[in-house]
Amino acid sequence: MQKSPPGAQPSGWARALPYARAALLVGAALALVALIKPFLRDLFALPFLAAVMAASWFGGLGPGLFAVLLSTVLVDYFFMQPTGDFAIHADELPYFSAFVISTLLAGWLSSARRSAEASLRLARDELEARVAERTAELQRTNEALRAEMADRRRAQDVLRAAQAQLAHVTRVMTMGELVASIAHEINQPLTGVVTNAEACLHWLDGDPPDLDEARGALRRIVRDGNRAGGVIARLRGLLKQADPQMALLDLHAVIRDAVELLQSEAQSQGVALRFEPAAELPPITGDRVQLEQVILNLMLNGIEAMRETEPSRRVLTIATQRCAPDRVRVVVEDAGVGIAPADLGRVFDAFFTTKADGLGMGLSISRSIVEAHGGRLSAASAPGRGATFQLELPVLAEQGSRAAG
Amino acid sequence: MAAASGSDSQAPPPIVFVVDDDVSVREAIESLVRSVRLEVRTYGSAREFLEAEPLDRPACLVLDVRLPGSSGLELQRELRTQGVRLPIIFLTGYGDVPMSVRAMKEGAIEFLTKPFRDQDLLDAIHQALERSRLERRQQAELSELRRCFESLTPRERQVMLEVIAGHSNKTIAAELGTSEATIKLHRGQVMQKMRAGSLAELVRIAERLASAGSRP
Repeated sequence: MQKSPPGAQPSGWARALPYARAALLVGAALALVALIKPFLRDLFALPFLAAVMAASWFGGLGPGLFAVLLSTVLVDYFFMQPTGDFAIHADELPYFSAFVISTLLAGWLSSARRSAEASLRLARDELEARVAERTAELQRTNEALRAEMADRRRAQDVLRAAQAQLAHVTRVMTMGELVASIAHEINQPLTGVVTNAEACLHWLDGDPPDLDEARGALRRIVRDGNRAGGVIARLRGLLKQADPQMALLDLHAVIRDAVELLQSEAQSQGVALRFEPAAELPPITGDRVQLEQVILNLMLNGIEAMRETEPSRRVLTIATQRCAPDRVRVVVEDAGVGIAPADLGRVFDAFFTTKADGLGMGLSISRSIVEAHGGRLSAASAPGRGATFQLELPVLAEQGSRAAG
Repeated sequence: MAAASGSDSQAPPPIVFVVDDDVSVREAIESLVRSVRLEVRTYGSAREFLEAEPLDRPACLVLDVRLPGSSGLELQRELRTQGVRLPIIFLTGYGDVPMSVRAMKEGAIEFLTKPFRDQDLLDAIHQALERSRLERRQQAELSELRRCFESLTPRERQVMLEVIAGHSNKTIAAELGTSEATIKLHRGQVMQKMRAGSLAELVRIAERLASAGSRP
């Protein structure tokens, strides 16, 4: 088999080389036979056979036949009776014929074997090339897929960011509605601080100064200062624009925060807040700020719905229950105007509102937040007697990372 | 609950009541008031205050406008219907003008916005206690007058009414169908029992009783 590159025409020299090698091999066989003829006797043909096999192995069928021809001539000339010429004694004819046939056969077999191996190698190389090609193709597909996935992920990120932004904006708006009562929440401890400080000065100015009383006043200043700081911290927590963070949450703590934030607002509307926590509630996985936003929203809606309710019935109840081994429920119930049956299916739609100054985003955002937590938000109402909102959440959010803004 | 009606003319120590649902504000005011050597009692709600034992001492009330359940203004009205005359200093977080106007119209001493200056609150408290003392004195005098009036016999009351109406003994005697001498005697009794030195004084006393709701 020629090692020349495919498609390139082998040069004359390269084409002649196997023939020269065949001649050399046969020559070597002749020399060997000449040297050891006495030991070989009638087996002198074996080295020629070997030379033919070698020539056709390395050179292919052509040089193999050339070696056969050469061997035949030499054997005829040197070893067939009468030796020294090309005539052949009749007795020698069978032997010579057998020699020629054997060498031909050997040459052919050898070259056939060689070419079979060569085509096998070719087939293998081809296979390897095809495998490499396929692998490359697969890689390209894979990369395209990966790019598509990245695109999709980017799109999801953009969507999530947009939702987070919307949630943040509605949160800020909610806080805006609560500005008066939040100001009150901060003003109360601030009044405590100022008045305690003045009382402390009085105690110190006394004759003799009353240090115990002064100390007591200072302690209350610290407490009240921390209380005002707590209000600010709660606010900042709700107003900061951070990516949703899923964490293990005590739902009761989240509700208590919301209740505390709305206490003052509820009071100014003459509404009593009643929190009825379940005796035992497993922690849930969720984003604290978002879930507090949902609860704040439901509570604020309830408080607003009771504007026309007679004062003694203005109670907003927030209860928690474990409704299944792996699900918890928050129920927010008011005694307000309720929701008309026709509106019940639409309250969660974006831009649906019954309030004069409402934007209609609160419940829509709330539902998307709850659904992103793998939960469910639903409403029920007996018109004129109030509305009940139920928020169900899995104990372990199935798709924690999916939290929307 | 504090009542400012009493016959004791010798003044007992005054007391300041504070009603605010917010513990920070409540405790701070309590300390401030005690620091100027005044007695103070604090309550977290209007109901708590209304249910407390009444005290017969000069007193005033420091009251938060915003209270859970009932507002400070409602408590002010409730005290008024119960006949309790207690000077009130209102505290508000808002400085809500219409509300303060209403409170002042109903007799509030002062309307302070939180956070307030200590001196403003203490001045208001002193002013309120002064008013409480004055009212107690007037109340004491009035009940003394009432007691005097109640000691009159029906006949003497009749005579007193005629006298302050400006009628002469003669006319009265004719009206009541008795002698002028008897009327003169009754009239002397009235002047003595009502501790009036002159006819003019008797008329003033009668006017005070009338304006306080008694029926002379």
